[in-house]
Amino acid sequence: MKKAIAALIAFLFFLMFVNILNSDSEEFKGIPKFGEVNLTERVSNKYISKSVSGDSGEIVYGKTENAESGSANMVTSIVVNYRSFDTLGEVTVLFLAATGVAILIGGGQRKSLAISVNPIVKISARIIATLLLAFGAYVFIHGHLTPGGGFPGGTIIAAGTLLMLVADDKKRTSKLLKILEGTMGFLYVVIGIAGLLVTGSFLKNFLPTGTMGNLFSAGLIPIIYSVIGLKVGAELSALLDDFFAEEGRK
Amino acid sequence: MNPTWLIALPLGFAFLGIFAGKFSKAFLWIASLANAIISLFIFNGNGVTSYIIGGWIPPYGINLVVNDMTRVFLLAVNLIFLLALVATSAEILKKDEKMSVAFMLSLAAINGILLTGDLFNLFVFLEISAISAYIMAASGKEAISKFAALKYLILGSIASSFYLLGVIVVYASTGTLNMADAAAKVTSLNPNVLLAAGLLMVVGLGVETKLFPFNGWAPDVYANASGRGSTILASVFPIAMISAFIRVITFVINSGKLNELIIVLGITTAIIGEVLAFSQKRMKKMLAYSSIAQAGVILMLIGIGSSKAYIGASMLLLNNGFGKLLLFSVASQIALVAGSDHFENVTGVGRKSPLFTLLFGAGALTIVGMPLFFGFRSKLYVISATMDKSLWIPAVILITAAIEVTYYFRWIFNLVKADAKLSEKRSPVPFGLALAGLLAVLVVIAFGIVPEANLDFFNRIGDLSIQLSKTLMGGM
Amino acid sequence: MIQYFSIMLIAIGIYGLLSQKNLVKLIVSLNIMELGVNIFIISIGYVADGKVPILSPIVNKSSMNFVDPLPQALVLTAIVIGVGVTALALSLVLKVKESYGTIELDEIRGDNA
Repeated sequence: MKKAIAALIAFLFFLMFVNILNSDSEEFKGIPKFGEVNLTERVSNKYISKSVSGDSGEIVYGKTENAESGSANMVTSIVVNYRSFDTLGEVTVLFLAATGVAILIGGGQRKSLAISVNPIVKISARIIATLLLAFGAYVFIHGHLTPGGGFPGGTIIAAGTLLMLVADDKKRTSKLLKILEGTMGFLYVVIGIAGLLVTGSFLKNFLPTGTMGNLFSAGLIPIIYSVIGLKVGAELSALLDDFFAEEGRK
Repeated sequence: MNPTWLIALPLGFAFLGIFAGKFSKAFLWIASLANAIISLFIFNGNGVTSYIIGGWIPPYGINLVVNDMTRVFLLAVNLIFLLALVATSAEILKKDEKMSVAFMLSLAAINGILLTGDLFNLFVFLEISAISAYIMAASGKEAISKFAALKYLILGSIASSFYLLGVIVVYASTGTLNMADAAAKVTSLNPNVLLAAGLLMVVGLGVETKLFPFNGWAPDVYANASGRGSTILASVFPIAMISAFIRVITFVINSGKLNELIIVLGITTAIIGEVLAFSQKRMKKMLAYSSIAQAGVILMLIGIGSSKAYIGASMLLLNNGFGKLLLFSVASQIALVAGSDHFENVTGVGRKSPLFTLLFGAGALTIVGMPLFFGFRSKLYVISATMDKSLWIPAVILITAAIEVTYYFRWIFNLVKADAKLSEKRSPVPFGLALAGLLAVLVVIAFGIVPEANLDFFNRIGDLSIQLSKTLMGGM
Repeated sequence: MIQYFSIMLIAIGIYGLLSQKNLVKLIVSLNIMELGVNIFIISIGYVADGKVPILSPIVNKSSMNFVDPLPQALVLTAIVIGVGVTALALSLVLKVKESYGTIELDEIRGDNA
């Protein structure tokens, strides 16, 4: 009986939603058909042409200098520049969730594995984890030029930590992680406040944005993305460590 | 004063607090004290101001909007938060250094919810406040608090997914995320799309504002969270959540059908809440159902949406904030003294420590709306505000008030009843609770007896809420 | 088509949330629902024949036909939030299991009464 009601509600939701899809018509605006989006009606049009603060002509890769947002990756320029405040909140959500996990289950001793681990596995895990660390750093440093950025980069670093935790049953992540996590978050807020004090607007970019497509370009974006990458990496590593910890047995 | 500080300060201190050990408790005090002072500066002003973030003009960038309603709410929220900290300062929580971080982040998120002028940014802040609320809900001593928190988490996550879906429907059809811009553009929207987006958002915000039938989480969470957690959840959070509800549902969506639905749901919430509160055997559970009922009346007023209704809703919200601050902090302390907050256990506790009776009584009297208290003024205003809509709404409010009076007085009489079982030893009231409690009592009595002219800021809420809706909010 | 699939995923998630009794299954249903929401968000930004919104030596001018980058930025935020909430939910389940010895809703409620 309960399952039938559940199915009915889910089906009604489906019907309601299908009903409003493809509702864009001449008379009323609605959700446009899949693939037939008119970007000029959306705010993202100006994110693509980078003309929020005034029209500066066409943006050309490798040529345009001092565009209002210097990132070649448009998603990055939205995430860390146009809507940076959301990203600060997003980092905070992850931070808060990691703190919550630490409050609930953290602080105990490491759960030992049921089987002993072969030294070959241990050593190769260390090598791969180092490579993952380097790759993660590469991903977040190049976040303004290539797909990726702070969040994927941090996750790759945390994958390295997970490998270490699984392959070595004595391993604990270091207490330094908490300090790294906190400092990086604080640094993000400090960058924001610096913008507020220098330009009068929180999180505003106050560095030159350079030539589009260079590694050293886009002003604050690579700095903020490195901060985010380190923070997310430290946070997820600490979170994994908490899940490996047993409550109560010090 | 730039209101960004209200968000940036607690956020910065929270990040430092995670590794600062014992200092993180000091950071919590500094952050909340600083926020209270800053909000006092912001309160001294009027009109609508928009502060842009990141230097991008709206609707492309995110902006913070301060209007006369926000000014009142900001001051109330930061003040009640500080008072709640003082009132529960005697309580020792498990891992309280990390809990302080969660409290600081909840403070930042609540200020963000009150200020933001962007639909998606609101989602982010709602998530931060929701997650800190889950952590607070799980902070109780009993195992049941963890289970209550988990139920809250599942409901809350469904809600935030629905809200996000609503935001995306608005973005897909209007192409903007800025509230003012969206409010101007939704008028040319297909009514079905608008209704669907509105419904999704009502579900999303309904969970947090405790609208029936999405409020099943509230009683268990309020009743089992720690003293500090439940006090903040019951007094500070409703103000922020209702403010978000006003901004999104009435200013952005503003669909007539939806408003009718909210009126009906609000009245249902109020009646169910009062009836269930009447039959409760635990003090904090009774208070939780009473909170639900209050939220119902306030949401019903928002559904009516006239300028007088907004003033009435704001008055009720502040009254509820200060009242629940008193009631929950005293109830948590009584539960600690008496061993539990069951009806039989707390009999006579107030006779031993008259200060408990005084604080609990003052909180209860302002919630039910006794003369001389702020509650009386606000309920009178609400009844006159709803009179022109239809006569049966004030009738419902009076009936719920009558139920409220009955059960609150039953609990007060129970507190002062002579009981032979109790030992003669007096239980001392913690200094922090006495200080914050007396301050809150002063506030509700002052708001109850000062002449109308001194409460001009409430009238400004009504003046602006109408012109706000379309253009000014984005400050474009 | 993909929009219908994403809505179907949301509906499956809602069905799971309303019908399941196991706490871990509830969290899985929640994740299915969030996944559906995320796919839907991405789908509303698709432009027919649109390019990946990253300038590179080949796709080098901003006047070309790109897909909408904003939903992709929003979905990044939504994913991260989903991860955080799931981690917190799982640790709460661990605590519930520790004190009640079960993760079935019916048995937990039975204990309470």
